[in-house]
Amino acid sequence: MTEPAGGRAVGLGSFVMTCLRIGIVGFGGGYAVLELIRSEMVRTHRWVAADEFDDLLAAVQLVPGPTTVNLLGALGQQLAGWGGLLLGTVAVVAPSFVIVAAVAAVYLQYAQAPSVVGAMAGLAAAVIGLMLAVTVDLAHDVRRDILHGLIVAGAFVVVAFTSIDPIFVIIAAIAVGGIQVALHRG
Amino acid sequence: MLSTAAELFSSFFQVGLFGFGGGFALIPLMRTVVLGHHWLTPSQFLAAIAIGQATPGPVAISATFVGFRVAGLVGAFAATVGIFAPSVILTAALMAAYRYVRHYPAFHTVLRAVLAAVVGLIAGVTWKLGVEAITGFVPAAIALAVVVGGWRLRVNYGLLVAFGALAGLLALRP
Repeated sequence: MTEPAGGRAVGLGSFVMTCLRIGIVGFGGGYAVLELIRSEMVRTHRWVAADEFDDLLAAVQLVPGPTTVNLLGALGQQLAGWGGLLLGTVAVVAPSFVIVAAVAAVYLQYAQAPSVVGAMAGLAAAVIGLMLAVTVDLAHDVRRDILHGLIVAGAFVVVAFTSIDPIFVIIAAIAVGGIQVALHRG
Repeated sequence: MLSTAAELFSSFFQVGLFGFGGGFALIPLMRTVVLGHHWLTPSQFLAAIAIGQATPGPVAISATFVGFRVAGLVGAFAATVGIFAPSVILTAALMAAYRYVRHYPAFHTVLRAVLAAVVGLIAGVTWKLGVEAITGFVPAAIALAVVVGGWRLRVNYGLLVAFGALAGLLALRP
């Protein structure tokens, strides 16, 4: 079955199956999965053009939550309507849900076993490394000025050294952005 | 049981609603909710994040682990639906307004401030979790190897966490 690039009429079933496959093989999140989605949507199926894909990827940054899930939801809406958004999201999350619930059941049973403790300690250290890598990567996109530098530093201090709910930091940042917009208008 | 499930749903809904900046941005919010409710100990929370990272799908799936630990399959379901529901609802809202939002600069000004906050939040939670996870030379070496692999070499995250688990199995067994 071939579809023209940028075509709208993608079958709901084939879109959902593609999401399901991404959900099963998409280990680790982040760039790897974004690349996987790009190759499925743009190259393999040719459901969207590359620039259209990039526009959607930029737009979903406006929405909270995992970028990959939101991107597939947005693609689903564009390609297969509102059903595509809802079922695409369910399809990409469902495999992880089943796997994590199963792993949780087994892990909680054997959490004290020395091999499990060791592997988990290594895994935790690796996750810290990943989080550092993600922080450095994201920091590249932060505007280099005093205001944004202060926001970064303030948010770090709040989480690292206080027990203030990080949600307030997000709300404060939205307020700062809103004030900037208002000042430029006025 | 049902009230616990409702509590899981609403708590993780709140996490999903404010998790701007991608999956990792959810981690500091999740930590506050999970430790605040005493649903997991700090080291169990670390395990939840690690398992979320070592399995397919976004790290937000750690919510499934938390829910399962607290209230079994019902809890796992409630937490998972809770954390992803805001994504679905707000992505739908975005797409309904897509042609207007697309090139509207005000959104990007606000988003730039939020991104700066998210970088600080993730750095802060990395610090907090790091204090618990980096207990000696071997964990520090594993973390450093993953930083280099993930940031410089763009190695697949799944492979990196598999490496961490294997290294831990060999070198960190109590």
